[in-house]
Amino acid sequence: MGAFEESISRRLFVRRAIVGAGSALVGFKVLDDFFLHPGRSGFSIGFRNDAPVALWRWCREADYYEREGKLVRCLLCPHLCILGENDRGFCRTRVVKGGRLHTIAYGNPCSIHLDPIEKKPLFHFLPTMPILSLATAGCNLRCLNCQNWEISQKRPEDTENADLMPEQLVALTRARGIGAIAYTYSEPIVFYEYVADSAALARASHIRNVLVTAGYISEEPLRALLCSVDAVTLDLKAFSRRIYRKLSQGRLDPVLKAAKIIREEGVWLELSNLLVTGVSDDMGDVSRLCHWIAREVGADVPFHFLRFHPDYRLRTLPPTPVATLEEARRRALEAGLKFVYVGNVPNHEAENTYCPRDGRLLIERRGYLVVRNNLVGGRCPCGEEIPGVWV
Amino acid sequence: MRGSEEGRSSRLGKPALVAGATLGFASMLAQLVSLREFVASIGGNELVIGTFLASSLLLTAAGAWIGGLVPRGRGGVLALLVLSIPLAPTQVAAIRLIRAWVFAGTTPSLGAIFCCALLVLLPASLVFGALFSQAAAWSPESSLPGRVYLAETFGAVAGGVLYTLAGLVYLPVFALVCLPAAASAAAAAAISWQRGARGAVVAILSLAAFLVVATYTFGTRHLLLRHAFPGQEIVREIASPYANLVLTRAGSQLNLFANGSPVASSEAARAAEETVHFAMAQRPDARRVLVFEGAASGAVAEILKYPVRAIDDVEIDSAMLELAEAVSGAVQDPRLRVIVDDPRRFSRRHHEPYDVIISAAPDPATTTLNRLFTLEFFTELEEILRPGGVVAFTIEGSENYRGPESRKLNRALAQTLASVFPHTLVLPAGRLVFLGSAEPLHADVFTSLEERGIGTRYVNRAYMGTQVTPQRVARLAAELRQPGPVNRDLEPSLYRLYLARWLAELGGSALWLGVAFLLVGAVAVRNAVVGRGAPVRGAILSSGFASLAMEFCLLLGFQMIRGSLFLQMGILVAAFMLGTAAGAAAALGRAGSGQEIRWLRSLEAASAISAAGTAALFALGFDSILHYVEGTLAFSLLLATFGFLTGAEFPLAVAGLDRAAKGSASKLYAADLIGASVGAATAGVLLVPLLGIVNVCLLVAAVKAASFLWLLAPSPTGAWRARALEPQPISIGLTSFLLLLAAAALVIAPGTEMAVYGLSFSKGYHVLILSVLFLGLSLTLELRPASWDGRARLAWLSVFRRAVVSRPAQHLAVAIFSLPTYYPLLHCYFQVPYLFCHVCPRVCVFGYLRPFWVPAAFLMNLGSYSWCLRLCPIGALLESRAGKQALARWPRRLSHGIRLGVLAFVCYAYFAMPAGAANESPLSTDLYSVLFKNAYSVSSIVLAVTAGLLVLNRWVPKSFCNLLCPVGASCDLAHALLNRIPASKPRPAGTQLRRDGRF
Repeated sequence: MGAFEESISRRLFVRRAIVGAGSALVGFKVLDDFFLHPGRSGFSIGFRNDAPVALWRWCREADYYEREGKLVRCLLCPHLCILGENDRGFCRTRVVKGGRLHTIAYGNPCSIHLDPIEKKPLFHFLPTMPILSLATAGCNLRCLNCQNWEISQKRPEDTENADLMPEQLVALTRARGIGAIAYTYSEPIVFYEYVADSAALARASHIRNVLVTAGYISEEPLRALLCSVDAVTLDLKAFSRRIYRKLSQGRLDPVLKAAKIIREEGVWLELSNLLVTGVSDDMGDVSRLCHWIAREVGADVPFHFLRFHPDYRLRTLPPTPVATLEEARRRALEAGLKFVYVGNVPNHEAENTYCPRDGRLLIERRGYLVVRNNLVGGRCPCGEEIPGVWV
Repeated sequence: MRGSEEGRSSRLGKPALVAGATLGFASMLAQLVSLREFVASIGGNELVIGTFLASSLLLTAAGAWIGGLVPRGRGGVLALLVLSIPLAPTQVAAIRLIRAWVFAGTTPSLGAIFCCALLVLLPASLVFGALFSQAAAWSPESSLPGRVYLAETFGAVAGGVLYTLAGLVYLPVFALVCLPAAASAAAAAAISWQRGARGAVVAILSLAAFLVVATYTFGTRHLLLRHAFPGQEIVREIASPYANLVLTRAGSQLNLFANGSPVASSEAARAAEETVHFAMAQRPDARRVLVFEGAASGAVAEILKYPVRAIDDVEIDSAMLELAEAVSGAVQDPRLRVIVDDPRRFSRRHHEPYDVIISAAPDPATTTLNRLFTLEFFTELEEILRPGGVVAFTIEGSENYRGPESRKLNRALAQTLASVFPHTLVLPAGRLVFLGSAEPLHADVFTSLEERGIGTRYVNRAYMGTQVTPQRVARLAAELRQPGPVNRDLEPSLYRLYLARWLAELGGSALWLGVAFLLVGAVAVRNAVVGRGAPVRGAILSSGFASLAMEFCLLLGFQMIRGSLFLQMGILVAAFMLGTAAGAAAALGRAGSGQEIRWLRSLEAASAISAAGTAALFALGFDSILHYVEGTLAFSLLLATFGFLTGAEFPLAVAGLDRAAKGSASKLYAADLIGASVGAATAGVLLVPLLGIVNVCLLVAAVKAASFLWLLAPSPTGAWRARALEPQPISIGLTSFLLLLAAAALVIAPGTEMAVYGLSFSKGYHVLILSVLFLGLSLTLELRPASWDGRARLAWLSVFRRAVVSRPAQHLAVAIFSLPTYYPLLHCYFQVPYLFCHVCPRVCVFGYLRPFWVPAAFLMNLGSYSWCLRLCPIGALLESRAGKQALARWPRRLSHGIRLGVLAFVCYAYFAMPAGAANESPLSTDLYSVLFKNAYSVSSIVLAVTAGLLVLNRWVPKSFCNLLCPVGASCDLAHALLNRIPASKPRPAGTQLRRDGRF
C-alpha cells in the first residue's frame, strides 16, 4: 500500500460511520422527494408567489375551493392544486389573495372570432350555424401539440384582452344575431365562472352554449356547468394513460369519467381524437378506445379523428398520414360506432355524414361548408333517426 | 541504433507533433459533424449553435487545464490518443440516441438542450483538451508548445477541408466520423511502434478496424436513425452540404426532413398553396414567376396551375431537389427552369424582370436565413420586379391569437417590407402571408381563384373563408401598424425576435443559462488570466474571442453580399484556418528571440487596427470595394489576415511566458479556448443582433486595444500582478457581501422579484445545489481511490483539490449558495428567518431545500467543518471581516451560553410551532401568532439585526456563527461528544484533519 494509507482511529470510525449513514439518509430523501414522489409536498403544482400585486376588475371569487389551514385547495379540476397566499394555480388563472381563491379570467377574453360550428368540430349540432368563439388565457393541461399555445400557456395579465363581462357578451351575441357561443381555443374549464355566468345568461336569451374542452374537470363543477350547456366537444387525446400523461401532463381517467357524465346529463356530445404520428396513432389503442366509447358512452356519439400538424413542442413529427386516419376510422366503424369522421383533411369523403342503416349520403361537407343536407326532420329519407340537434 | 533514433526523435518532439496534428484533425471533424447532428436533432438556431460551441470550447479548455495539472508523461499522450479513437463515432451515436429516447419527437427545453450538449461533449472535449497539454509537455524544449500548436492548426485545416469535400460528395455521416477514429488509431500505432510496442500496435489497429467496420455498418443501415423518427420507415438519408436530409415513409405518406424538421409531406399541400395562391391571385396573368426554394414545398406545382410562361426555381441545395421530387413528384414542364444558386447571389446577378417573386424559404431562425428577410434583399428583389409585380413570402402564424413576441416579429417584418414597397398586405392564413408591391393589393383572394377556376384543397372559401376575413385582416393590420425595427443586413434584428419567440414557445427563460455561462465564464476568465503573466494570457484570451467574433462577422457579411454557397463558405473558412497556421509558423521563427512580447504587442495593435478597419469597410459599404476585387478573394484575404494575427500570438506567448516559468502552454491554450467560447456564446446570439456587425467589429477593436495596453505593463510576464490579484479570504467575503447586496436589490425590487423567485425554484438550480452538497459530503467522507498510489494518486489529488477545494471553487460555491442563504433575510413570512420553514404557508427556496441542506451541512461539519469554512456564504462573509485579536478578548462562556440558548429555542420552536399553526385565530398569543407576519415581505427588524451583526463582527469574530447559528452550535456539541470517544490509534500527522478544512 502506498504512503498515503491512513490508520483509522476509533473516533474517526464513528465519525465516518455517522457521516456515511447520514449521507445515505439524505441521499434517500433527495431521491424520494425529488424523483420518486415529486408531488408529495403539494407545492409541486402551481406557481409560487406569482399572483398579481392587486386583483383587477376581471376577477371573481372562485366557485370551487376549500381552505386547509393557511392553505387553499382548488377543487375545480383533478390537479387539486394546494396554494398559499399569493400563489397561482397550475392553470394560471386562479390566485390566492387574502386567503381566498380568485379567478382572474372573468370577462377578459383575449381571442374572439366568428367561426363555423363545423370547425369545433360539431357535425350533429345545428349545421352551418355561425358561432361566436372566445377564450381567455390559461389552461390546466400542457399539451405538446397545442395550436393555441400563445393563449393557453400564458397568464391573463400577459395577453391583450377585451373587456367583455357576461352581460356584454350576451348582448353582443344577440345584437349580431348569432345563435350560439363557443367557449373554446384554450380550455374553458379554467375560466369556469365566466363560462357558467355567461352560459346562464345566454340560455335565458335563447342562445346556445358550446364547450370545446379536454374534459379535465372534477365531477361536481362539471355537473353544475352542464345545466346551462347545450353541446360539448370533448378531445380525448389518447387512450393510453402513459401517452395521455406524456402529451398533456394530465390523467386519462377523469376525462373518461367526464365523457360519461356529459352523456348522463343529456348534453349533446361529440368526441374527437388527434392522432399524433408515432405517439398516439397506435391502432390497438384506437380500437380499445372505440370499443370503450361504444360500450360506455354510446355508439351513436359522433367521433372525429383529427389530423395532426407539427406545432408547438412537436415540430419534428410529420403530419398524420391520411391512411392512418382512414384505418382508425375503419376500426371505429368495426367497433360499432355509427358516425365516424376524419378532420383536417379537406374534401375527404369521411367529412360527410352517412346513414348508418343504408349508407346514404346525408350531409355533404366541403371544408367547413355544408354543400348539401338531405336530412328531413333529423331523419334519413329511409326513416332512420340521426341523433343530433338539428333545429 | 533504433534506440538512439527514438531518443532523438522524442527529444525533438516528433510524436508530440503527430499527436498535435491528429488532435487538430480529429477534434475539428468531430466538432463539425457533431454540431450538425445536434442542430439536426433539435431544429437549431443561433442559441443552440452558440450553446454547443461554447460548451465544447469551455470543456476543451477544462481538459487542457486538467491535462496541465497531471504530471507530464509520454504514456499520457498515448493513452489519450487511444482513448480518443472511439470518441467521434460515439459522440454522434449519442446525439442520435438522445434525439430518439430523450427528446422523443418533442422540442426539448433550454435546460435539456444545455445538459445534453454538456453530456455529449464531455468525454471528447476533455480528452482532446488534455491531449494538447500532454503533447505540449512531451519534452522540455521551449519551442515545442508552439510547434504542437502549429501542428494542431494544420490538422484542423485538414479536418475542415476534408469536411468541405465530404459535403460536396455527400459522404455519409458515419463514414465521416470514422476518419477521426482512424487518424487517432494511426497516430497511437505510430507512437507505439516507435516505442517498440508491437503488440500494442496490433491491438490498437484491431480495435480501430473493428470500430470503423461496426460504425460504418450500423450507421449506414439507419439503425440509429430509426428510433429518431417514430412510426416511420427511413427511406434515404443524405448529408448534403447544407443540411442532414432524411426521407421517411409513414403509411402512404412520404416525409422530407431537413435538419430534423419536416419540410414537406406528400399528403400535405397546405403550406405550398398558401405560399403560392395568395400571391398569384394578385397577379393571375403573371407571365414570369421567380420562386426561391419552391421544389420541396411543392410550390412549383401550384404555380403551374396558372397560365405562366416561365418559372425560375432557385434552389440552394441540389440534394434537396432530388428528395423533393420523391415527395412532391417530379415536375416535367418546359416552362420550368431550375437554377442551383444562392437566392441573394441570384437576385444580384440576374436582371430579367419578373411579375411575381415568391420565397418559400424557412422562417428566419438563423443568421443565414435572416438574409432573406432584410431591407437590402427586398430592395434587390424590387429591382428585378416588373412594375406592379408582387413579392410574397410567409412565416409561421397563429390563427386565433398572436402573443407579444409574435407581434414584435411580425411588426419588424412588415416594417421592413413597407420600407421598400408602397403597398403591403399581410393575410392571416395558416401561415402569415406577406405581400409587397408598387401597386395596390387586395384581400379577396377566393373570388379571384374561383373566377379563374384554380382548384385548391386548402386555399378556398370552404376551408379558409372564415379565417381570411376582412375583420381578421383588419385586426392583423392594426397589430402591425405600431412601429417596429427594420431588419437590415448589418443590423439583423429579425432573428433576435425570432429567438425571443422560440424561447417563449419553450416556456423558459434564457436568463438562467446566461447566469450559468456568466458564472462559469467569469471563473474561467479569472482562472485563465490571473497569475503570472496575466497580460499575456489576457492577450491570448482576447484573441480567442476576437477570432470567433470576427470570423462570424465576416462570414455573415459575405453571406449577405455574395450568398452562402457551401463551396465558397468552405473556401473562406479554409482561408481563415490557413491564415492561423501561417501565423503560427511565422511566429515560431520569432519565438526564442527574446523579443516575443514586443512582437505580441505589435500583433495586438495590428488586430485592433484590422478590426477597426473592417468596421469601416462594413460601414462604408463593401459594394463599392467589391467592384474592384472579387468578393470571395476579398473576404478570404480579410479572414486570412485575422487568422494570421490570432494564430501568430500563441507561439510567441508560450515562448515569452516560458522564459519566466515553464509549463505555461496548457493555461494559455485554455485561455485561448475560453476566449473563443465567450465569442461563440455571444457573437451570434447577443452581439450581432443587438449591436450590429459594424459595432461588433468596433467592440473587437476596443478589446484588442485594451489587451494591447495591458501588454505595455512594465513586466507583462512577471508575477507582480499575480500577487495583486491573488484572492485572499477577504475576496471570498467580498464576493459573499456583493452577492448579499445583489440579492437584496433583486429580491426587494418589484421588477425583478418574480424573476429571482422563479430562478430560485428552477430544477436545474436545485440539482446544482444538491450536487455541491453531495460533493461536500464525499469530501467529508474522504472518498477517493485509496488503492491508487504513486503518480496517479498525486494527479488525482491535484486535480480534485484544485477543482473542489481551491479558492475559485470556494468563490463558486459561495455564489451558488448565496441566493437561498440570503433569501429568508429579505423575504420571510416570519419575524425570525430560517427557523419555521416546516410551518411556512409558502416556503422559499431555503425552506424547500432545508430538509436536505441542513442535515448535509451538519454532516459536512462533523468532518472538518467544511460547510462552515468552505461553503457557507454567511461564514465566508463574516470570516473575512473578523478581527484576529478579538477572539481572545471575547468572553467565551457568554458566547457558549448564548449559542446553547439559541439552540434550545430552535428545538422548542420546531416542536411548538405545529400546534400554533393549527390555531387560526389572529388574536391568539402563541408563538406562531407572535412570529408570523402573514406577509411575504422584508422585515426591518431582520435587516437591522443583519446590519448589527455585520458591525458587531468587527469586534466579535464571526458574530452570527458564534452567537446565533444553530448549525454551528449543534456541530460543536456533536464534536464535543465525539471527542469524548477515546482515539484508539492516533492518525499520522500528515493526514490529520484540521479545522481549516485542508488535508
